[in-house]
Amino acid sequence: MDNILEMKNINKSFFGVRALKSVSLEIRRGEVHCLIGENGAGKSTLMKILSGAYQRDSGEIVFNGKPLDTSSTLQVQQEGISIIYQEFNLASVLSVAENIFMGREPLNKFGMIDKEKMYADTQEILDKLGVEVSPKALVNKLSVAEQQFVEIAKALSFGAKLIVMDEPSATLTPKELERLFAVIYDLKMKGVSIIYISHHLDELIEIGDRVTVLRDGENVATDDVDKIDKDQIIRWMVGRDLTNSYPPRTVTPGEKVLEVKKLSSEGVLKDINFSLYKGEILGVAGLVGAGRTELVRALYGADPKDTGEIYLNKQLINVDSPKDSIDHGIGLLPEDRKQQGVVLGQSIKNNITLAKIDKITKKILIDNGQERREVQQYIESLGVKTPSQEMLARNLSGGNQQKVVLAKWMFTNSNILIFDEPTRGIDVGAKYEIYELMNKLTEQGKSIIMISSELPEIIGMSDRVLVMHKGRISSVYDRTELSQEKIMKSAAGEVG
Amino acid sequence: MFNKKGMVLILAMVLVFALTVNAGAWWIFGGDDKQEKNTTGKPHEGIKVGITFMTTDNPFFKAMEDAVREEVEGNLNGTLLVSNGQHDAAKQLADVEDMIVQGIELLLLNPVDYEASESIVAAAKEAGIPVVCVDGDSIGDRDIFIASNNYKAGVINAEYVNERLNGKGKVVVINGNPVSAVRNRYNGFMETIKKYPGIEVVAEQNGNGKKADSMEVMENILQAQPKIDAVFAINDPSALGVVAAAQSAGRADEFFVMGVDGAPNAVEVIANNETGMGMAATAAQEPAKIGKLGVEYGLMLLDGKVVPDELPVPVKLITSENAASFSW
Amino acid sequence: MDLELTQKISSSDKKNSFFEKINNSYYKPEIYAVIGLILLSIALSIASPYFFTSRNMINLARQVSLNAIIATGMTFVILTGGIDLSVGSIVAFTGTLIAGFIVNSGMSPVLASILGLALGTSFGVFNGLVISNTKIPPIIVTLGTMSMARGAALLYTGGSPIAGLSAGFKFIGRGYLGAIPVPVWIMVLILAVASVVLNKTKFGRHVCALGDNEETVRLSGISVKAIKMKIYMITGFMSAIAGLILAARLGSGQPLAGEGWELDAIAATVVGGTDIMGGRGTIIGTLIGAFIIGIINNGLNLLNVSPYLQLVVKGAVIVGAVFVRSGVVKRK
Ligand SMILES: Nc1ncnc2c1ncn2[C@@H]1O[C@H](COP(=O)(O)OP(=O)(O)OP(=O)(O)O)[C@@H](O)[C@H]1O
Ligand SMILES: [Mg+2]
Repeated sequence: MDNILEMKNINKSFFGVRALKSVSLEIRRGEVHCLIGENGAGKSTLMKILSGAYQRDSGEIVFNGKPLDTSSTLQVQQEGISIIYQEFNLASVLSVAENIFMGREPLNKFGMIDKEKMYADTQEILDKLGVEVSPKALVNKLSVAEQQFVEIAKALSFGAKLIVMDEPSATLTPKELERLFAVIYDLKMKGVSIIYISHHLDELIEIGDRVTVLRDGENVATDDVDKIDKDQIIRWMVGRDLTNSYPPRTVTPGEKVLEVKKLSSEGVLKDINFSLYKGEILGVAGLVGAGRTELVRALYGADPKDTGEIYLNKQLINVDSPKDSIDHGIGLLPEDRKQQGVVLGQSIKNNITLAKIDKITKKILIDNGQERREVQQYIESLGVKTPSQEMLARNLSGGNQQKVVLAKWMFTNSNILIFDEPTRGIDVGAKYEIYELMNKLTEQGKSIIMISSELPEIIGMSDRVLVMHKGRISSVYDRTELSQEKIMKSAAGEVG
Repeated sequence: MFNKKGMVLILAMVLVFALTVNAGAWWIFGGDDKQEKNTTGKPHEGIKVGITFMTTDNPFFKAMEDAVREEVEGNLNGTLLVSNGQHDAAKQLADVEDMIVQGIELLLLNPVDYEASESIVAAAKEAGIPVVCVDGDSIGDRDIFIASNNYKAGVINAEYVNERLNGKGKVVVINGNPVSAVRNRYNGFMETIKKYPGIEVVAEQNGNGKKADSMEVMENILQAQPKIDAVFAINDPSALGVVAAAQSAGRADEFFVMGVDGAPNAVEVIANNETGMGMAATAAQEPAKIGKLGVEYGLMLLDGKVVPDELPVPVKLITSENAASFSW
Repeated sequence: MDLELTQKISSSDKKNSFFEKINNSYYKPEIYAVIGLILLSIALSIASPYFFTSRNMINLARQVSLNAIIATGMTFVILTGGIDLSVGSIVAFTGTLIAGFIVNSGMSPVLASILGLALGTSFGVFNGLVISNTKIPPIIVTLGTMSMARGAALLYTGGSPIAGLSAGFKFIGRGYLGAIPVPVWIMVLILAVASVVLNKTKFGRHVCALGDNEETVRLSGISVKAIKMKIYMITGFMSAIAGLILAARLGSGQPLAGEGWELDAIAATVVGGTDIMGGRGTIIGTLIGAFIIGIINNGLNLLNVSPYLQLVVKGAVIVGAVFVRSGVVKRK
């Protein structure tokens, strides 16, 4: 069989810790090759070595029959390998077209950038992808999903022979995902190879031809997708069986702790009313753009609101800034991990304690010993994979960064926790642990509002579910009456 | 990994090492120093002298430095340490402290600031070093002040104005930052010009003693003053700045400009002046002479001789008639 | 797992781990500055017999003290990703004000100092207010303040220095406690407090995080405005202290003092390992940075290097130091 790419015995260490141990990977022409593994298993690292973003310690890379020069990322791109990183690489104040053609803009006869041509070419690529985005739109005005498609468009414009997608689905709605799959299928037919990284096993089964599983920096298996099933993949990944996806909910919600009345915000939210009970997990479902994130941000004081009253334990409270919320014991884990969740240049420890330093402060000074002990507990209970809590958050894998953000909000000890997509980018095994932690928090009498785009997660963990549609709450379901179909219908605005 | 203890240990080792090396260097170079000193037995042979200037970006001080170097290193076989105060009183103080550490025996001080240099004088005197102020004076306990007769420089320029304008006209003054030399020139000029009632000072601005700044303020003055007969600038760079401004305003032939210093480039312009307008005169100082006198009186101080408190050095008016034969 | 990983750190992979180690936070970022300082000291000890003498060390410490104090404030500002160009002007403003209060208005030196420090700090407060409440970049705001404070100093003095300060007041700048000059004591005290504030308090943590990611800090329930307000106030206060000491050292208030000092303070901060983009840095690093800048001045003087060449060397060392550091940062 004809291999487009062969990576042989790749080794890579960071600070003396081996992230990749003699990993070999072969990609065939025109196949969709899935890469899966726990957070920190080395998936992104392997791809960054391929792209030239990291330099390998040892090993060999052959692309298209020739050794690949990975000394610069541009070189690799020109050879025909495009990588769409887990963390986007777009310049946010530039337009879509400028991003796609950055550094190789078409020129007119005066040597100036030929904008007309650039926009036209961009439009053509976007049309092929079926994305409704203007080539002139600024990237920072786009949704995460739209940005994702711009990244793909950019890869296509390079005429790539191999495209790597590092967790492309993490931020996509089911519809967008369908479109992505259609595009992938189309590419495959044209002989383009795809490396597809995801934590969603269903996706791998649907789109993949072969799958490679990484565990602790080693290639533990490569096999045809047809020959294996989900359980087998999980066994390879975590080294044991996972019997349940969701731990059972045992808490019975108590009295009302939070009530939101008539919350509105021009053009985003319309007359939102709901309550939250002690010990409850309240799921918030809806399509991208339904206003879920906007709702919790307004509630939290991160964005201004036009009208609305918030009652905490029946008392009217004033929330104009995140600081007010924290002071009232309300915490928000934001959706956008990199921009709003972690401080990449600070240590894991400093990230975890950032929102509640008072907790580890004696008089006015931080108690380093106590801080280290408490942080260590979170690192262990969430399974953050790192050699030290002094490690910069930047150096963690995506999923482990997400765990740090979760730990940060758990550390605040808030009575009401709002989680916006808490398990995004987290591997199957670790997800279960996080669900258990959520259960434990509610057992302690805390209440959780959880936004999630994964319906099984909403159904598996919520006591009640709010479904939003176009800035309104379209329906509220109790745990007993929940079904995937009902939620989808009211999210689409067909009920309620 | 570098922990705290490791760091301290490394530092300590370095210090010990440095001290050892230092002692060795002392032994080797120190010995050399002594030998040199007593070769011919001339008095003050091998003396170490420090000179600090308010700035060195002026050929005036360069001429003075050259003369002092000739005296100290040429005639006395000694060492000259030079510092550039860069118009910063604090830097000048630091520089002099560094010179004292190096064991200078005599300090020639051209202070950035008349008052702030008190601390410089104090530091030197504390170390038993005589202080000779050159070109600019300092408050405090300095031993002697040697400078051009700056007041006279202002006076002769004022007299020149009166003569050329026949006692009637409009004059502009470009002042500088008020160090003593500048103040004296300014006062000499202003007090003399008052004696001629027909001559009016129509504008007065600070050009910081620099060509670029003076050009800028002169541009503004040219906007405001429709008629100017003469400009007095407190030094040559300022005067040349004025000339440049006049040229770019197309008013180069309207008035004549005078400076103070006798800087080579100014003298050259004066020597080649054909119209009589533009750069026409300067009250020339003799920096080399000031420097030489500085060393001479400094040595007298070291010998315990009595010296005057101030020593004015005469200035000379340079015009197109005598410019060709003049040089610092 | 964790144990296994930790053990491996010490053994395997020596190749590029040195740079990576230094660049990771648990290896202090100021390490380059320490190496630089040691190398410079050794070189100068060999080159000049005067360098490593106790007299010169004391001399050096006194010369460095003012820049170190200002650079400490600057470190806080740069940690948040900001910059303060007004420090040098605040030095002059405070110094002339205090001198004027004592000499012209006949105030007691203590009262004059307190008042002068308060008024000097008010420029920092102004910086903080504007920067935290508007979107004007710090470099523009403080550039404006730089001009205003300088202008205020010149206006107040009419352009010429104010002299005639008492011996008691001058003690702050010229005196000794034990063998150590008073300004050095003040520097040590201020740096010790600042170091504790940066490393061991909530405020310090917030400052570092802010420089890295303002939005995350805001969403963590921290008042970004309040922090910005405080750091510019701190820098203003540090500059005012430096102004007080300088007036005492020069025995007069100099309206033109402190010109270009913002560059020295920024240089000390950055040479000392603080990331110019914010987020990472230490006070001890800044102190070392200030010593490096000071030693360059002092050492070149001792070597009798031409004053012009001194400027060149100083500039080259600053750029070189920043280059080494940024080169290392890029490796990650
Ligand atoms: N720049 C770096 N410095 C130090 N360690 C790093 C760096 N990049 C990655 N690592 C470490 O290498 C390991 C593998 O990380 P990688 O990002 O490849 O994981 P991943 O499989 O992509 O995980 P995820 O599913 O969470 O994205 C992790 O332990 C991570 O902490
Ligand atoms: Mg990854």
